[in-house]
Formats: sequence, C-alpha cells, structure tokens
Amino acid sequence: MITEGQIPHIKNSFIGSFRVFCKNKMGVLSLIVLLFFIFIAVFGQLLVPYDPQSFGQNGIMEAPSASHVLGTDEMGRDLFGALVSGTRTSLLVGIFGTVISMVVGALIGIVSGYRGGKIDALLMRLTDIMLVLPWLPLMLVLAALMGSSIWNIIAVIGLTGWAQTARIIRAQTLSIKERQYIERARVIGSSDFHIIRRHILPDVFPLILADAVTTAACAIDAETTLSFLGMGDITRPSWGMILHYAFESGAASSNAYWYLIPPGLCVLFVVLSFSYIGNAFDEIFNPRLRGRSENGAS
Amino acid sequence: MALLEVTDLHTEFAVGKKTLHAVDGVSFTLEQGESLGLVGESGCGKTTTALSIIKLLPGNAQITSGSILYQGEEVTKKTRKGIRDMRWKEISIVFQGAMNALNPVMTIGDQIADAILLHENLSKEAVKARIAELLERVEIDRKRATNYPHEFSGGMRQRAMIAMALACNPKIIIGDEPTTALDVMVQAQIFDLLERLRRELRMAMILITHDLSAMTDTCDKAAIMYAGKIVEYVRVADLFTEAAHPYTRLLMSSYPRIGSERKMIDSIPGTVPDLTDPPKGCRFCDRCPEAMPICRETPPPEILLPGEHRVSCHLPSLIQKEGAKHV
Amino acid sequence: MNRRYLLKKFLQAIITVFAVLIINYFLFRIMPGDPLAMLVRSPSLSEEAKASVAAMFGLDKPWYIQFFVYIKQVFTLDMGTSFIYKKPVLDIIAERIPATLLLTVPAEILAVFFGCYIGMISAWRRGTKSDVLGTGVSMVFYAMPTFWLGILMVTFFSATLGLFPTSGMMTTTLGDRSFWAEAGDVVVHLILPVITMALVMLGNYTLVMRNSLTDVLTEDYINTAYAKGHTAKNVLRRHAMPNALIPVTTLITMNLGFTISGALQIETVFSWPGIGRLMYDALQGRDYPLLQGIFLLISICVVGANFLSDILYGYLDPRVKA
Repeated sequence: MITEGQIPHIKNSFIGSFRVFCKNKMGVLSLIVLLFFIFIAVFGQLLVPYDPQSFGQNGIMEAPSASHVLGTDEMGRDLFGALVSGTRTSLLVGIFGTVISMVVGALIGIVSGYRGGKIDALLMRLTDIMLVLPWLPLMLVLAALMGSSIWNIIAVIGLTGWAQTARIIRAQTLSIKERQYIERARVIGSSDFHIIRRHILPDVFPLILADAVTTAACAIDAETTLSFLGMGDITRPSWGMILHYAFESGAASSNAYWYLIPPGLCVLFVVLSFSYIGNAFDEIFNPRLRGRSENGAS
Repeated sequence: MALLEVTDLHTEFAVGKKTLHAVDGVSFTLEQGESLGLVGESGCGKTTTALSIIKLLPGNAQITSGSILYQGEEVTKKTRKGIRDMRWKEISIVFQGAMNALNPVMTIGDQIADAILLHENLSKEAVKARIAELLERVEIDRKRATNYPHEFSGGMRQRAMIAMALACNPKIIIGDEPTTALDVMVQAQIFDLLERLRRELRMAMILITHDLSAMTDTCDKAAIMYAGKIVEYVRVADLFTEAAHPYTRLLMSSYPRIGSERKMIDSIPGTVPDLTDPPKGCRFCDRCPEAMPICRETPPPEILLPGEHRVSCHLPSLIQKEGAKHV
Repeated sequence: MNRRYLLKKFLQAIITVFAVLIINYFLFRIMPGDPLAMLVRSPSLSEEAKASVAAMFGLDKPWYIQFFVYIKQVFTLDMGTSFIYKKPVLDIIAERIPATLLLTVPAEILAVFFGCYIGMISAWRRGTKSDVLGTGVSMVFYAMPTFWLGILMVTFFSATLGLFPTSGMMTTTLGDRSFWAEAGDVVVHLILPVITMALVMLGNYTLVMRNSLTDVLTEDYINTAYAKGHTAKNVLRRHAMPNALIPVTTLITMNLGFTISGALQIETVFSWPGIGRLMYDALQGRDYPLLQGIFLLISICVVGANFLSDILYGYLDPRVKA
C-alpha cells in the first residue's frame, strides 16, 4: 500500500539528491553561471546605456572602448547591448523549445509505455523515425517553409527534439508499470488518468528534469545554428544572429574579435553549464557512476 | 608446511578520508586438499580476506600488515609479476553471479583458452583438447565451447566458470558465493560438482558463503567471520555440537537445513558495525543476546579449545571450559 | 546475428524511408507556405513558366495524383530543376558530393582515432589530471557551436597568422597548373576545415568511449581477467576494449546525421563547395526543388547509415537477438 509515510521518503530523496548534486563542483559552478545568465536575460536591459537597435550616431566596427565596452558592429550598434538582448532571446528559445520538447516527449513516452500494444508500436516507430531524421537539415527546411518568427523557431526546435525524451520516459514507465502499487491501484478501480497523474508522473519526473537539461543545451545550440545560417527572427536578435551579422560583414577577415568572441563564449558557457548539470544529474540517477573505485590491482 | 598460512592479516580500504578496516587480524591455515568455509553476513570481510591472498583488491584497498605464506613463500612481498604468475595457475576463483563474470563477447572456449595460454605454452590442439576435457568434467558438451555465455543457462554458466577455474590445475580454488542467483536445485548441483572435483583433483578450497548449511556438506573447517575478524574457527564435523560463539549459534538457528526454504540472514536483528570506526570492545556486542558489560570495554580474548577449535568471546562458560587455553 | 534480426531491421529502414518520403511531400507541398503554390502565384514569373512548373509538379491535378507524380519523380530520380542554377537538381548535387566526402572522411577518421584514444585514457585513468583535462577539452569542443569554432579558426590561423587560405577549395586565380600543384592547393585549403570538423566531432567520441569503457571496467569479467593473471594492459586490450568499442563503433555509422550538420556549418564558414554549402545557398535563395533534393538525399543516407549501424551492432555483439 502507498501510505502517507512515503511522502517524507520522497522529500528525503529529493534533499539527498540535492546533497549529491552539491558535491559535484562543476555542477554547482554551472548552476551559478546559468543563474547569472538568467539574471542578465531578465534585468540586463537596465545595464545597457544604449538602445540596441539604434545606430548611426556611433562609429562603425569600433574596437572596445570606455563608451562601448564590447565595441560596435558594422552599422555602429553597441555590441554589449546586442549581447544582452541576445541573452534574452537565446534563453527564451532554449527554455520554451525545451518545454515543448519535454511535454511532447513525456506524453508520447508515458502513453506508449503505459498503454503498450499497438499504440506503443505505432508511437515508437514514429519516435524511431524522428530519431533518424537529420535534425539540422530538418529544422532548416521547416524554418525556411514556416517563416522565421521566434515562435516558429521555438516550435521547430520543440517538435524535432522530443524523440530521445520519449524513449527514456517510455522505458521508465514500463518499469514503473510493473510495480505492485500500480497493480493495486488498478484493482481498486483507479482510472488510467489518475494512475498516470498520481503514480507514474511523480516517478518519471526526475528523469524528465534530467533530460530537460540535456535538451536545453541542444535547443540553445540549435537556435544559435539556425540564426547563424540566416533562419533566425530578425526582429529578435539572438547570439546566433549577432554571429550571423558578424560573419556576413567579414568580421573574421578583418579580425574584429570583439564582434566574434563574446556571443560565441556566451553560447559555450550556457551549453557547457547545461551539460555539466546534466552530468551531475546523471550521477544522482545512476549511482553506479558515483564513487566508482579505480580498476583492480595488477 | 601448510599449503597456505595466513597470519594476522590486515586489509584496509581508503574511503574518502577514512580508513575502513575490512580485514582486521585474520589468521587461518589451509592444507593440501582441505576445504575451508568462510562464513558470515555480507560486509564482514570474507571476500576481501580471500582476494587478499592473490592481491586482487580494488585500487583503494591495501594489505597493511600480516603475512600470507603460500607454499612457504611470502605473497605480500612478491612482485607484480610474481603475483600474476600465481593467479589462476596456483589459486583460481569461481566468482559470484557467473552471468557477469564471463566476458559476453568471447566464446566460452576462448575464455578458457585465454587462461590456459597465459600460464602454459601449449599447442592449439592441446589447448582444444584441454578445453574439451574440462567442459566434460563439468558435464557440458564439448561442442558448446563455441557458444557465448548468453547462450548458456545460469547453472551452465556457473559450471563453465568452474571449468575455467580448473583450467590451469590450481592447488587452491576460491569459491566466492558461487551459487548466488541460482535456484535451489541448481545450487545443490553446483556444490556437488565442486565437492566431487575437489576430491578427484585433490585441490584445496576456500568457500565464501553466508549460508551455513551449504558449507556443512562441502567443507572440512569453518571460519566464522564478523566485522573483519574470525570469531570462531571450528571443524565442520564439530560445528553442530560444539559451536560456542553466540554469533555462530545465531547463524545456525537462522538457517534451516538444506532443502527447506531459504531465510535471509538479517533475521539476526541489527547490522554490522561501521568498520571505519569499529567499537573498542567486542564487535558483536550490540547484537549479542548474551552481552555483558565487559564486552563493550575490552576486545574478547581468543580461547583455544580442544580439536583446533578457536573462539573469541568473553563468555565465562567458555573461558572456564575444560582444556581451554587463553591467548 | 540471425536472419530475423536482419529482416526486421531492413523492414524498419524501408518504413523509415517511406516516412521520409511522406514527410518530404507534406513539407514541400501541403504546408501553409507551400513553396510551389507561392511560386505559381508569384507575379514575377511569366505565365508560361508558371504553367510549366504547375505541370511538372502536377499542381493542376487532385492531391492523390500529385502524390503519385511525386513518388514517380523520386523513383526516377527526377528531382526537378534548380531555381538558382537552372540545372537538374540531381546533377548539381552529384557535382558537390566529392567535395563533401573530401572534407568529412578525413575529419571523421581523425575524430574517431583521437576521440577513442582520449576517451580510453580518460576512462582508464578516471579521476586523474589526464582524465579531467581530456574530458574537459572534449566537453568544450562538444558544447561549442561548430560554425563558431570555424570562424575562430579562420580568424586566428588565416586572418591573423596568414597560415592558411580563408575559404574555398582552390585558389582560382592561378590558371593552368599540373595535377599535383592543384592537388597540393586543395590540401592546403582542406587542412583548416578538416581540423575544425575533427575537433567538433572528437568530443562526442571521447565522451561515449569514456562512458562506455568506464561502465565496462566495473563489470565482473574485468575482475575475472585480473584474477586470471593478465597484466593491466592486457585486461584493457583483450577484455575491456572489445566490449567498450561496441557502442562506439555503431555510433560512427549512426553519427552521419551529426556529421552532416557539422559539414553544413563548416562548409558555410569556409565556403567549401560541398553539399552543406549548397544547402545554405539553397536556403538563402529559397531554391525549393534543390532544398527538397538535398533534404531527401541526406535523410535517405542517414536512414541507410542507421541500418548499417544495426547490422554492425548485430555482428559485433553476440547477445543481439531478433
């Protein structure tokens, strides 16, 4: 029987997980970096002395100086301002793309694993197909056909990235389904919806969370690449878009490092942070990796 | 000269900043052809004791003191090469859970050949003949040498493991819980097979088990281990009449004889103490039904009783027993 | 591996190819921004041209006839005519394939070799400085946007140091040269993109190799190998690596999609005249027939590579059953 007594257990395991996470130095550092970027995305505009879209009154392709800490672009726009507003766009796309991807993936995974049979077979074939399709060309084609508004890009990222999640969630659902309390819940006449909401969802949630971190890294990378390849939303410049303009304006051959390096570093830091947090989660959910002893004596 | 003589062995694990005393002053001897059972709950240092003999320890473990004499040679002082030469050729192991102890991408025959060719310079044909002979000894068709482990049943895998352990005609075979994860019928078969082969080949054996009943049919002597120490050392023939240590007696009562349903050993209340900070008195006193105040303060003396029988306990009935000698 | 496994995987591949065909059909014909419909409505096109495009894609017929026309086109390898190049799509693609292979094959070989080596060392010396360094560097390259690394390489090695040409496959201004002079020129142009691509892919192999070997090293059979008296080196070589390489080997083939994504970005940055750059140009010019052709080709190659990887897996791992 599942009793009230199990709730503190869940809480304890959450606190325990947090403790394990805190032991992972890179994980904690990454979390701090990520929080910093989120802070910039939310409040960053207050730090910028210039309107990011205004141009004309500044010099063109200026190197960093006291008035423009990161220099200016080929149209004289302040690059620090562009970087800050790019943070908001990149994180927005990353987070929303991930959320869509998680919802679709979890839904398909749970339904597939819980229902089994023909529905499972059908959904898993679909998942396999999605897994096989080359994501970047698919995203580019979709973006080219749907038009490059920011919401389209979010939709494209969300709708192409769910397959891996669905696989993981399905496997977990299958193993939970076999547990006795699910059987009991079914015997006493709980509805499928109730069982999924009360028993399966809480158990797969940590996995969804862990997978979301990895997906977020992919989503931000995807947005950057799409924007760089000219498929971004020109009204909402992101890090990738800044790099697109940098590349198109020949910043590489004119050695305008201030134009090229900061946006890429931002992407790198955010993606790395997500990856390291993912690793930390891996250690929590896969205890085999924790404190693994070195190989045997020889 | 005994085949194997272990004296006051200490093996420690580095666990973070702490030291875990997994084996803490263990002594025993093993004669040619003799078989010894190492019995106790998990986490009592049975496996670490046995693996220390061929230094097959994880990177964070180390033998800190004591002596291991194999055929009169000090194992702890051997070079890496010396140890490697000794492994399998002199002392081989049947691991627990043969599923994972066999390499999944090598055929059974190749895995046996791997062991033979490491220690002996034989022709291809001779190796092939030896493999066939070994497999037939453990009642596996010689044609199955080309099979992979996953194509075998659990019991067959364990028999293949035994065949592999015999490959270099070792003098000692260590059985590390060789029947875990097998069903009861198969367990009995494996024990019978081990016992028969041991007698036929005149090998000595160290059988690690938490199951007293499994050991009584197979072993000559029993060393009951608790929290890194041997608490009682007794001839198996005398075990049921002479068992003196409260832990041994609890172990015996918590196990029904072979054939009836298995019961887990945790039917003794409590758990093994933390070996990074062992209690200063007797390590069993927290769980001992006969514990006295002195048990918490002073480590128990080792008492020698007639018939190679050794017990470490404070019980007055033992200390005052006829023929008892203190150490 | 048995016949049933093979057959099952083959059928799955066929189904996936059909799914790709259908997705492709929907993408390019049914979507709200249906490019052909837009094209036909476009005022800049002459009535004649509109009629010929409409006829070619069967736009004047009901949708099931259109689908039939489409399937027939795919099977006869008639992918239409490029808007930009005014040539059959298939010919344009075929011209570009060698350049892409010239870039990706050496890069893949370098990445696999160094990736596996670094991953092996990292797993073997888990927790030591060489592991932290190897894993850290791999993670950085893995997390870095591919095109950005390319831009940095151009900026540093070409623009600043002047060591390599910034773009293209050959220096076109040099006129007639011997075959060897031309080949040497191509190699000089090739170095930077190949290194960039190898670095980007390296991280993936390093991490997979490291995880795979770390897992294998905790298995009981590794302990058995030590107990047999093998040296550490032999345990690694004969018992651990054959097991640890299984997932890595299949990854190499399965990774084709990833490789293509990399090639797309690197060819764009380096103006390398391969399929990737072609796709970029097709995207910029909204050259839909060309885009469709490239997308179909890439998808089918990836499906094929996955099928190959399944076969390889069945061959390498004796445990695989149907």
